[in-house]
This record gives sequence, C-alpha cells and structure tokens, in this order.
Amino acid sequence: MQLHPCPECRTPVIADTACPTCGATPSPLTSRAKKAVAGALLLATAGCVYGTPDRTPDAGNPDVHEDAGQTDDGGA
Amino acid sequence: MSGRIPAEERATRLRYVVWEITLRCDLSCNHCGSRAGKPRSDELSTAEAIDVVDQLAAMGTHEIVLIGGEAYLREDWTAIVRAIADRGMRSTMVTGGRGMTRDRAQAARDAGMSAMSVSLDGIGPTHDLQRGLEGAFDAATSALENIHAAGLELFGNSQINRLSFPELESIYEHLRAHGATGWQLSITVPMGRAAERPHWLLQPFELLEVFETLAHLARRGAEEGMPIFPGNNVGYFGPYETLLRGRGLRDDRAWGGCIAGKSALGIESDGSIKGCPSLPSDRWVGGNVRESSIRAIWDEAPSLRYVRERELDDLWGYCRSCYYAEVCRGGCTWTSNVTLGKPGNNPYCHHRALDHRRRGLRERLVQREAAPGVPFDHGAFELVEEPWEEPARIAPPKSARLRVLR
Repeated sequence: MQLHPCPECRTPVIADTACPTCGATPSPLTSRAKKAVAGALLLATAGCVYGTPDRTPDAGNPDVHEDAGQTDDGGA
Repeated sequence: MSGRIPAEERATRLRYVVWEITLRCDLSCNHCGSRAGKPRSDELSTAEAIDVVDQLAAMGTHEIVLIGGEAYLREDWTAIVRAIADRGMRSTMVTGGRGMTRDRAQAARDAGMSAMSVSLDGIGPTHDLQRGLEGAFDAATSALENIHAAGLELFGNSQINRLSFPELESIYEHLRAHGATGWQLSITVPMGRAAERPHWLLQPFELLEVFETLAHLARRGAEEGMPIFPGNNVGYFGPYETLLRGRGLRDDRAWGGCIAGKSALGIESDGSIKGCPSLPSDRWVGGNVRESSIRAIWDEAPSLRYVRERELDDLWGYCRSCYYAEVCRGGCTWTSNVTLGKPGNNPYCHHRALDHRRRGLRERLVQREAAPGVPFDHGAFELVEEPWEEPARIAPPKSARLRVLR
C-alpha cells in the first residue's frame, strides 16, 4: 500500500484519501502535493525495542537495505 | 549491491536477532519484563551458543544484539562476540552498565563488537529508582565513558514512562555529552515487574504530550548529530511519523508493521526461539535450538509465522477499523498482547489518540488483574473510553516510594 506525506501536516496518507490528521484532500493536487506524491513513503521496519540503532542506511529494513532504490512499490 | 531479492523472500528474511545470552543480572530493574536476576537453570553451553551463531550466519543475519539479564555476566560472552564478528555479522549489545569497566569495554572491542547501547531512564535518583539500585546512574555514566574510550559506537536507550518523561531532554543531553551518537526510545509497557507498577505507565491519551516532546527531540537530535530512533512500540503515524521514523534526517519513512518473525528473531538463554525477545514466552516460543534447527523453527512454527500471516480479521477493537489497518496491522504485537491480552489492538498509538481527541474522547487503561510474578508475565487491563478531559502535564506519581538496594 502506497503512503504519501500530507502536503499540509506531513501525516502519512493513503493514496486518494483525505489526511486523517488535518483533513486535507488529495485533489486537486497542489504543486506541493504533487511533489509529495512523487516521493512516496518507504515502510520502515528498523528499530527493535532492544536494539542498538544501526546507523548504516536503512539497516534492518529488508525492503530497502538489499535493494535500495528498487522497492517494488516504487518507493523514493 | 546483490541482485534483486524477490519481494516474498525479502518480506520474511531474517536480518536482526536479539539474543538473551543469560538471564543473570546485576541490576534489579523495577520495570524489567523478564524479571531478570538469576540465570536460567539450563542456559546454552558455549558450544551450543557457537552453533547458534553458525546457524544465524547461514540464514543471512545482519546484526545480533546481545542482551540479558546482563550479557557480560556470562563468562564466555566475548567468545560469542568474536564468533559473531568472525562470521561477518554486526555484533552489538545493550547493557545496564553497572559492571561495564574499561577492561570489559576494551575486551568487547577487541573481540569485534561494533556498538553498545547503555540503558538510561533518568538522571540520578530517577534512574536509580527504576533500576532498583542506588548508584546505578553513576555506574551507567561510567559505562558511557568506558565504552566511548574503548572506541565502540555508543548509543543510549531509554524507557518512556511517568518517571522518565519529564527528564527526557536531560537524558538526551547527558548521553550526548558522553559521546553517544544515537538514542533509542521505547514506551514502558506492563510486562514483568512493570506490570506491578501500573502507576508508572503512561495513559494512551498522554501520547499527545509525549509526541510533541519526541518531535522536538528528533529535530534537535538531527541538528546536533544524535538522532533518535523510535522503538517498535513508539508510533504510529500522525504528523510526526516521518520526522521520527526518518530520524529527523529524511522524510520518506513510515511504520510498516511489526517485524517479529518477519525480519527479527528473539532467542532466550535456554535456546527458546520467539519472533521478538519481548513477547511472553508461554504463548510465543516456537521451538528450541536443542530440538530443531533455527531455520526449521523460523519457517514452520506457527508463532513465528503469526505476523507474516496475520490477516485484517485478526485485528480487533479500534485497530480493526483503523484508517491504517492494512499497513499497520495493529502496531507492536508485544505491546498489544501484554496490555489487552492478545495482539491486534494497540492502545499506545499516536494516530489513535489524535483521532479520539478530535472526537472529544480519550482512552484510559485500568488494571483489572495483577501479574502472577513469573518472567515475561503480564496482568490484564481494560480500556476505558471517556469524554476528553484536559490532562495535567505528565509527572512522576507522588505515591512512588520504592525500595532501592544499596
């Protein structure tokens, strides 16, 4: 599922729906919104409750660590 | 970069292992989920531990985090560290720091450890109170100094509860002043000894205040080179999601669901395997390395496959009809399990608190059943929905009078 940052408040928003935090609607797209949609959110999975945070890019996120830039959902 | 990995394989590829190598501990933390202190009676031998390392390497593990109890109290801990490093995996450790001398820190570095994280839940007596030992804060501070001096990557980790919350910024500053370059935060939930102290726990509606502070600290951390890392039970969504999940450095990250049994694995010191080290053992252990290979447990055990195979119909309560249900899947499995008795409905959620606030409501947890008093146990809580009432600022409970060991 594709999420995009709301152009108004940055809350992750499901494509073609209104922002659940501020109510901003997805269309008509403003230039800011178009820019936001172009940069879809990656779904992060790093950060276990016990972990020592790994500072390597995208560590712990199998969706991006091995295949940076090649996510199936066309992530940023 | 390696070739493309099929999406299905990526989704369930083991990357991250948290391994309790002993339950023996030199602290007596009043919020310890595993009620650590004495070692388990049947902890793995050195040979068995090295075999575990071999198996994890063969499965492509990226990082192994050693925990306890207190990991350095196991005599062969540096041999385990060396075995991990020799097989090309990142070796790290979380410590309370009471006995993290300069020699121990150097021994870890010499064995190939990459990083250590010191637990710090407050300044001075606030930390001592939670850690159950007078002088624990000073010891943790010495540990920070010794780890930094040994040249290891240094991080801090902290619990967020009613005692620590008012001091979060001071903790941040203390860690940064001692050379930490990252800080991981988790919400204290009612498991183990923490279940005996419900007055220490945050109420779900208090996340509205908590996330304002976390956002401030995330911005500060990004500017000052000490990013904060939200633990998997800190979330979810809302206007600060990308700021927090992206460590203040990038704005394209969002919570993607629990990783227990998907890319993470927990191992107990007797060889029991769980999808996450925090999950209660009675329900979530999927097998033991003395009886099966880790690969077989990972592939076949229903409790390890639970998160991978969870359906929307497995969610319940608010989470079942949540806007984010499909991507979030109820947030942290552990947090939901130990507060409301089963996974799939997580009361500690920023989006949920915001949504209730918009509707003039708030949620409050009320303990209905005490914890029985065994490792990884939990009580039972009821979630009360009530009209919004402007809360007081989060502060330590005035009634807190706890035994601090000398």
